[in-house]
Amino acid sequence: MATTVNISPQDVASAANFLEAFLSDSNPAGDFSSGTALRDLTIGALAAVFAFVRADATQIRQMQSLKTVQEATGGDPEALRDAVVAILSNFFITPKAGAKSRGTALGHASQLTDIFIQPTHQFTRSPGLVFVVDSSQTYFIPQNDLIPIVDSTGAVLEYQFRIPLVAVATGAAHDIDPGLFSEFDRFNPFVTRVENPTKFSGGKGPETVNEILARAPTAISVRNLINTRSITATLDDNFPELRGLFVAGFGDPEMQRDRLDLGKPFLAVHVGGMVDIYLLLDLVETSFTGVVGGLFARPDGVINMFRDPSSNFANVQVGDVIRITGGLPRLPGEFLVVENQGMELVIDPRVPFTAATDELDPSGTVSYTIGRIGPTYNDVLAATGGVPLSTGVTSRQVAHVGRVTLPGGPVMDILDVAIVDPANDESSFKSPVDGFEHFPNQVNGTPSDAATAMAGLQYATVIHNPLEAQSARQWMEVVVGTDARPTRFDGRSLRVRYRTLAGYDAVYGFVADRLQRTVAAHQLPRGHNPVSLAISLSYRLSPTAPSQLDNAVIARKVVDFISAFDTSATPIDVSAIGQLVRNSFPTISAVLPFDVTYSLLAPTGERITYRSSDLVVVDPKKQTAGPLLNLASFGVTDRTVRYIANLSDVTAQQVS
Amino acid sequence: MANGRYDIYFQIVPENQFTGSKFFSWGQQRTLGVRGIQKLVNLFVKYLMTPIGSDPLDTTYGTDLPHLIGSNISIDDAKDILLLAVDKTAKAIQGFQISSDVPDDERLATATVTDFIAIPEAPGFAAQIFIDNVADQGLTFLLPTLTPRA
Repeated sequence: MATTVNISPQDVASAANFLEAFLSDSNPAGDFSSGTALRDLTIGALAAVFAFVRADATQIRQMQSLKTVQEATGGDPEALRDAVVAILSNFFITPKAGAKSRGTALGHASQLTDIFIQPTHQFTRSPGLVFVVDSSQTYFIPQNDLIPIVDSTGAVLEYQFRIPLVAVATGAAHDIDPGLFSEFDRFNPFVTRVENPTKFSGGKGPETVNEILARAPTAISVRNLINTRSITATLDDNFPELRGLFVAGFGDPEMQRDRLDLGKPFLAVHVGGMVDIYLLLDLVETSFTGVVGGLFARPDGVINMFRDPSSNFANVQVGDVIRITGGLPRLPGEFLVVENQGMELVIDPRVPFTAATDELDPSGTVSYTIGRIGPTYNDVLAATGGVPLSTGVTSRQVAHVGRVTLPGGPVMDILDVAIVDPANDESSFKSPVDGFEHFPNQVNGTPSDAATAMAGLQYATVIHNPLEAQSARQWMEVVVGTDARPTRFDGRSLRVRYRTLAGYDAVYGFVADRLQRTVAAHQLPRGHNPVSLAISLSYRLSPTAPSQLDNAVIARKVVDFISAFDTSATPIDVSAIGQLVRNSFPTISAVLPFDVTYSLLAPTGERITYRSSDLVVVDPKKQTAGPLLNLASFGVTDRTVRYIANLSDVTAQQVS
Repeated sequence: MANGRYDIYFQIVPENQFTGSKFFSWGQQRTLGVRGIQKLVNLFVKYLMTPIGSDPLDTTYGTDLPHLIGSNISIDDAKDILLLAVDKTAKAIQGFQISSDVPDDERLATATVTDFIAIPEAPGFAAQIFIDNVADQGLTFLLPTLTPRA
């Protein structure tokens, strides 16, 4: 909107006075005072024009400054926005267009069928609230992934499947509450309805003036990923969905990834050259299905597995050296064995192999010897005469019994772990609802084989590279093999549903791009260390309350509060949660005292549980279960944790 | 003593050259400057003959006297209006000059309607107004011709 220039009689009088002084100085003989004809001709005719020009010039000056632009636009919000955008565009800062809401919908099908959803298929919640599948290509759901819903007689009522959806437009209005989609394009004739069981999130409107101004100090910076200001500015500009970030670099207590351990527990140096970028992105549900005990590539790409189907590694010990003389670039090379797993050797990941010969086309082999005595290192394993064996294989593929490796990327909370094709002898553990074998209990250490169907099966998570946890390089395994039967589930398909960061891959790809990355540093975008909250609220209704409250609505209010809480400034206070509920639901007369139980998914993959009746903080004094870890040595501080909640862990109930 | 700063001199248009209500002209010669009591008379006449409200930058400037042209007001009432207009003009001129460095011969002392001549056959009127400055110089001018009579 255009701004207007207003002039008052005082402005005209002031202009006339100026002109009078100016003309009197220029022509001292002329009388330009009030009432004269000369004044009428030379001042009266021009004073208004001159007053306008002066006011316009003043306004232009105001419009050029962020400090005065608000005054110049006279309270017109649209004019103010245009003016601020115009000023900041001089510094290549443009307002963010907003972010699209995302969530997972639940589809219902009357028959078992493969599902194909085109990116153009629309799901309409209500007029104006339209979503499409969150995929750039045809989204395929194999019929094996459809969950049968059975009744008490075992008859299948319907099949359910999950669809990641994204809004077609930006704006918080698309953060829809749970409910049924009023219509959707017929992507499959057997699909009867689509609903969203949980609230969508992440929708955000165009950046407001205040948000632009708040961002301006950091936005005006070098567009390189070299310091906190520039990293914030660059990523903010390129990823509107980014809600915040924290950068840990050299000297920060959270920067532990650059630590070089020198063999002794307390002998380590920080060598620098690393930058961790903790991203605050919305959570999105995803899932991965893998074969238990199968081969998985290490997500961090480190090639440190060594195999030789023709040899026996029985005599190889930790500390031995594999000397490779052929089959790899830059040879000979010597590699330190750090683990002997029987059929394969693990070498020090800090000095990995330079290529994975099993990924070559055709696959190749290496020539090698193993020994302890240099320079030949052939005293432990070699061909006759100490010459190299020629059947070695280098690999980044690992296979661990009882485990699957999740794809690289943040894992903020695990929603469900299930064998989708359970063996017949596991029938007592099958869910009567979907026929899967679920693992509801996460434990630290090896899952117990003694877990009953009533108590629920156990699973554990292991992160092999804790200093790169919650990143694209995270190597996390989900362990379901039990202590007594490690191979109990091997060969079965394990599906893991979990929440990750929406849009993380795009940020990682951007930062790792050769054109963007800082050449002298290893920058790693990652998620915060997740802390999941569990809350059980009990409340009393006022005697005058006209009706009962919906407990699910109360729980959702609490979940939204926790998810949006900025703990970088102050920690969550248990009393604030109670106050929130009382304020939001005035008919509640009292919220009974309660504790918050929360658990940190440590960078090691272990879960550490805490309980608090006041501040919700990761404090050893509040720890109730889990290993006693030196979290600081993994870079875990208040600045690198993120508190999250989901509806399955937050409940509310009315008491009398 | 005419040592003040000059204003532009304007003069009444001869009666046979009137067009509408435009009575004044910069003259047939090149523009003239004016000082002294004649400048004061010009100042006075311009205020007196400006229809009040016609100056968009100062709507209080002027008098009701020009509104008499073409009106159906009686001669007696016209005289009252003339007296009021002259009085308002005198006060306005003195107001302009009170805080200004104005030479004595340009500073207004009094303005007096010395003669009101009814012309029933027109119908209309003529009037003589005597302008006196602080230097005790006087000048009479005649409405509607504004011809000064020394």
